[in-house]
Amino acid sequence: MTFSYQRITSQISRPILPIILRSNTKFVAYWGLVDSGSDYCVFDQEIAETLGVRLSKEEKVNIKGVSGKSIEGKFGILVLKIGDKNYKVKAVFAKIGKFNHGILGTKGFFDQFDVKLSYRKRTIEVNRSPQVN
Amino acid sequence: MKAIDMRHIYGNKKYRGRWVAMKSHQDLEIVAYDHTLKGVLGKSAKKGIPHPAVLEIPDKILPIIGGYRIVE
Repeated sequence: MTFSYQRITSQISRPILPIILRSNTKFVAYWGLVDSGSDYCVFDQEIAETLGVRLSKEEKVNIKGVSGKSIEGKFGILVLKIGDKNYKVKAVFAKIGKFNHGILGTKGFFDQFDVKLSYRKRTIEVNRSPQVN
Repeated sequence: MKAIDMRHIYGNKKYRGRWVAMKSHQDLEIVAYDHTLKGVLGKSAKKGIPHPAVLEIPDKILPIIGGYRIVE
């Protein structure tokens, strides 16, 4: 599957994919930034509330951005659909509103797909890869 | 392949700090916007688009350098 970059401003284009986030009964069409620097997938907390995703009360993490400000994140499990592939993901949910789209990180994205980015061509090639542990 | 041009969405001041709903991932026409995801989905559903593609537009469009990290 090949997707296009998104042009955000005249100076900024980003590798952002169309994704579907699902619970048992609901789904939200959303967008996710391909981010090999993130160990987990991260989505906005409002997504979890809308889908009714149960967030772990025990497994919390504090996430710090480059601004230095810390926000609380909680783990939850949902189904992520990219192209025609649906699979369960354990992701972090946090108030990342200022970041504006989800983050597709190593666990839950790069462990499912081989990914090739070409900024010059503005393309994101995403191909299924064998499951790795 | 051309990048998908989202400048009309990110550059529009009325969407800053709000959730926006587009018709779909392919059709980027804005059908609703609101301060909350619940609000924008409700407005979109009233316009006959129950499953729009949603995005939260930041107050300021700034370059990203590095991401978040988990701290103790």
